[in-house]
Amino acid sequence: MYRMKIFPVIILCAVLSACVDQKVVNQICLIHALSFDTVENGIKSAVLISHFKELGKTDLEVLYTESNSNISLPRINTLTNDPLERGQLKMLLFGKTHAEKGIGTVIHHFLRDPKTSSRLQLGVVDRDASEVLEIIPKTQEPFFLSDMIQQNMRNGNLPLMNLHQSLFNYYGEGRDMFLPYFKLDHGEVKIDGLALFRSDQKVTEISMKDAFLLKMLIQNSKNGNYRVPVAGRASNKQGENFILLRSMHSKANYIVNIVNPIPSISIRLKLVTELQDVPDWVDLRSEEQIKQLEKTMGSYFKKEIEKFLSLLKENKVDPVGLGDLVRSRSHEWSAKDFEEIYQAIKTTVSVQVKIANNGNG
Amino acid sequence: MKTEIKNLQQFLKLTEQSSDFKTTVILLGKQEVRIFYYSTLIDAKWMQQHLILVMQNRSLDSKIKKIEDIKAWIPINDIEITDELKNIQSKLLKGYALVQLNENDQKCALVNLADNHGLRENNDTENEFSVVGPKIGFVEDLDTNINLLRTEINISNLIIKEIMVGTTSKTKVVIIYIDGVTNEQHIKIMEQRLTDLDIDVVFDSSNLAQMLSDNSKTPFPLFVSTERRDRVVYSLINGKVAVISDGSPYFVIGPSTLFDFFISAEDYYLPWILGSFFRLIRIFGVLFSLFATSMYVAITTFHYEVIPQDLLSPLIFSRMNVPFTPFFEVLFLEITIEFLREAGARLPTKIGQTLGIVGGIVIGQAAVEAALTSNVLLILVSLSALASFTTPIYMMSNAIRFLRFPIIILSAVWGGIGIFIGVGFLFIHVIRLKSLGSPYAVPIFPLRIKDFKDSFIRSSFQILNKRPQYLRPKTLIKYVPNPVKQQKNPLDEE
Amino acid sequence: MKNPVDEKHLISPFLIVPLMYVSMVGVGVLNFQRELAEHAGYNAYISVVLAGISIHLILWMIYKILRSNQEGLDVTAINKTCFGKMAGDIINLAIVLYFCFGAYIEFGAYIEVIQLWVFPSMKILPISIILVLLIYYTVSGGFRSVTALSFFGLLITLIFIFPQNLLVLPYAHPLNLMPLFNHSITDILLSSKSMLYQFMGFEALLFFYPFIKSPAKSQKWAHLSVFFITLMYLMIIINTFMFYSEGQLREIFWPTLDMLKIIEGPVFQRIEYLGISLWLIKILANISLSLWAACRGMKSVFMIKPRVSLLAFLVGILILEYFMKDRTIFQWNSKFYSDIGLYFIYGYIPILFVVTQVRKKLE
Repeated sequence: MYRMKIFPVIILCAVLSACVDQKVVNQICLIHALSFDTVENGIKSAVLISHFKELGKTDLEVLYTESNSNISLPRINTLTNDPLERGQLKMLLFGKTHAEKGIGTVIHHFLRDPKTSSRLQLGVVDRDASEVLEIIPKTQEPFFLSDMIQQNMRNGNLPLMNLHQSLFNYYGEGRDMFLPYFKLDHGEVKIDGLALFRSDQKVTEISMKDAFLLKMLIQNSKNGNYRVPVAGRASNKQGENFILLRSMHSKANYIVNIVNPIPSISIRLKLVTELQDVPDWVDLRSEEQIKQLEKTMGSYFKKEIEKFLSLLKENKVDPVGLGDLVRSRSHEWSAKDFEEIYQAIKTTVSVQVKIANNGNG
Repeated sequence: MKTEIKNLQQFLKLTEQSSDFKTTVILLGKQEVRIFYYSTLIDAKWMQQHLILVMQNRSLDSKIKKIEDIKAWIPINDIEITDELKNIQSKLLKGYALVQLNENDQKCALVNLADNHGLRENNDTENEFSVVGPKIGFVEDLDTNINLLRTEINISNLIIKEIMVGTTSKTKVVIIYIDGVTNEQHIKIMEQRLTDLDIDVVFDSSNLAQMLSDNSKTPFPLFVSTERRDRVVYSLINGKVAVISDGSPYFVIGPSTLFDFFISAEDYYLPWILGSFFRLIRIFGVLFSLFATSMYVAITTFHYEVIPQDLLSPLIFSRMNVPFTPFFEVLFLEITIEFLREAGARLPTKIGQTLGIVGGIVIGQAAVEAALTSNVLLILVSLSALASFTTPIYMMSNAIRFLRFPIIILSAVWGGIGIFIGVGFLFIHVIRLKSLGSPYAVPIFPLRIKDFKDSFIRSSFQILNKRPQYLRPKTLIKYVPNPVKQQKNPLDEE
Repeated sequence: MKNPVDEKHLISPFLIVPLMYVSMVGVGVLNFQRELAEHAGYNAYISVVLAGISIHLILWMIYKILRSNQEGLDVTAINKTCFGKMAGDIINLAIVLYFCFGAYIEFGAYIEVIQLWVFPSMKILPISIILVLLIYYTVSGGFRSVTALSFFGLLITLIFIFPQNLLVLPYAHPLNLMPLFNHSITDILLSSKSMLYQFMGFEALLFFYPFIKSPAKSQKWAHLSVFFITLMYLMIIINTFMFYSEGQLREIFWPTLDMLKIIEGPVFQRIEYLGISLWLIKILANISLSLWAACRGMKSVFMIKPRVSLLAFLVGILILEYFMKDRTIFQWNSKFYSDIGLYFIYGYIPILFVVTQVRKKLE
């Protein structure tokens, strides 16, 4: 009898006194994007927050704060009437100066934060990152930048990237990080290739063309576009003619031939493409022409990839993960030693292109 | 327990166990004539006038020497003289009366006294409607009910035991079971509970169901109560025990399991694939009804990160001007729906229809416009209220509507973890329930894979030929299906 | 000798699978990868296999111990007969306290997970009270409801673990696993030792053995469940290794939960809250089983009614949980518990095995 009375009393007490921190969804301020820039006396952070006033239209606002330590987000709370929440953060931007100084601490902070998703997108800008953030409110889309990156990953030339992938590359020995590179062009934000990092500092950037090559090297480059020049036969050739191809499928096979002392890797790429844009003089019905085209494209790709790899070696960056590859075949491997011999490793490339379908004729 | 019934006397011993099998002995002068019949199947007035009275009148003149003379005596057309047991058995169940001259006679006369009143007295089941299938439901008169039952289960093994319950109302309560199929434990427990019952008036079988149940501290109904004939018949055939009281159209069937409350008679009238699909939809509807609103409260109050990116704007916008926390909003809407339901059940029909529309649409619309609630929540709450009525048994839908509230409260305090604490409590509670001694959560726990064939899904009748194991029936096999003819592949035949 | 436990409380032999699963897989599965990879690096999956094999051995020993006596005796009675009443009772008391402490450690670990991932500023006391009430409700339903909750926990986590591991595959880099075997044997063995902590917990078998219907048949199911759990751990560790690079793994404290952050569903964007909530049921089953075993032990040692000792244990857990708020003390506690557990499994059980076999031979 006693038990029947005590049970509900205990439950009532427990339930009424348990006030967990409530984050009611319309009483918080959601951060959609963050940016970090280095200024003279520290770091300037900007946040992009949203006010959902009307259905279909969202008001976005950018707020700034400066401090001499890395993470100064709590200070922005003094500028808003609702508490700031990071759960829906989808985009992190780094300004040029900040990226060159090193983004390691920021990334480390987000690694340990259980509230942020691992699917965060990171990006580097060619100037102050807060300028990019200022443009976003015009579009009235809170997730503009991250959607742009994701769309380009799915249907364009960018390889798969997000916070997790970048952390994987950053902390992994034998790999280096790469992030999308933004440019401001006539007041519009544009993705202009990838920024390559060595450890946590930006070293150089590559164009979208080379980004496609990188995508081919590390994953299945579906839906990427590339332009291949072909020697024209028409009499009125003005410059070279180009073929626009879209990759349907590609696979890269890596074979490590020699490991010590200087590794030698042979890369075999197989690319299945769809021709999108061909010059008029190409006759797509004849088999020899197709075979000729495939051969030309194969050798062109081989040249470009070798150029790309030597660019990587010059800059001592390794986004492809050659170091990791060698590590998996060698008994003892240290990252430091590999760095020293990186420039000297031999890579031989062979590309095989296949044209899957020819379009409508 | 299938003993060979060799002669009439053994047969009569068996049938005497039923309380509606009556024996009348009439004295015709110095001769005794015995008449045996099922009182619920025959027309009593007919028997009185055209059998007993006539025989008594005739006996003043002459005597019956042998049984064949009965034919001449009684002015009823359909009289048969036979000593075949099978014939006697089946004719008795069709409403014939057995007339026996001497105690040890084998040959008797079968007189047709069947009640031909037709089906005027039963009602269409309003509360348990089905689109296909018979809609025969029981009425308040006990005899008519048993008549209806006996015409469907046409064997003598159907035993009907009568018990008087209620010191003031002295209601006749009958226990019905099939001898040779039902486990004796269940019958004994039911009888024991009924005889031990100490109450003044028995209003309805639902009262009985509560008093007979194993555990009164639970919102779950422990017995299935139904007024459909096909449901009762199906349960009896499987080996359950049914109880009904005079003055109530509801049968109380036990032992029941949790899944019996999601079985609708219509599942058996549709092809088995469709029947299984609808059953799964029912179960999903119940789960949705229990958890949908609490998930809304948990997500909007604590776990905003879970909301997908495209849903963020509509959701936040819908809550933009609502001054309350989601918990109060949900409570407000849920209680409004409960008001609507309670009031709608008691309004007279003409007012009820208009007010229902006004209440539902106008109140809902006005509440959203006044920014007292959000329209997303309105949809969720109405859907979950609707979904709670997908269970065919009314008692269970009440239990589900009630159980939503503690889970909403728990989710308002601890978010997602709170919901699962509620799930834990609910689960343990269901596991600990027992209906008439057998566990309530069979076949999930104790795990009986063989009984799955009639719980979540309804398998084809080929597979349903054995009775459920948890009822521990005395005979396991109901019928032996012919093996399905192997369909030849049309390609091979070409 | 007849089974002292009543017929109607017995469970069928294959229900031993959820019981073993629930008692072995605790909160450890969420963060075992870090410690495991400390010594043997990315070859640690071999350690998993080794640990699994040794657990099979110990399980076989346990069965031999339990079957050497007449049917239906649990470890408390065996202790009494083997070591005499006084010493046996002391050992029984120690075992009971061990189980109780184990329940507290699991409870504290789970509350820590909730505090870290879901509600950082939550007051511990109210939720501890509610969880304690739920545990009381479960254990007071007897062994049947504890088994039912374990079964539910097994189902729920199965529904969760396999899809999780499959959905993570797009991010898997099989290259991480190579090279195979570039760590020394000692490293691999050291990692096996830390892996053993995750397999601990099946000692509850010593207590619920009399409750199984045909114990001989259950042995095959028990070995099957250990095999299955080894496979599961193997799958998780291989997935983890393919998903994270070695340097990354060193920085992440709860790898299994972190892996959940990548998965994106159509309705829910972040399913680790779902994962943690589902884990609640399993942890509750784990704690209920340990506490049930402890109460049963108390009943046979001190003749205290199980319900009273259950209340006492629960109040004790509440008090400990409320006062030991310092996380470092808690870490020390769980390390202490793991070490004791190791001695229990690899010290006490073989000793008991030898003693019972010798006794059997002498009879």
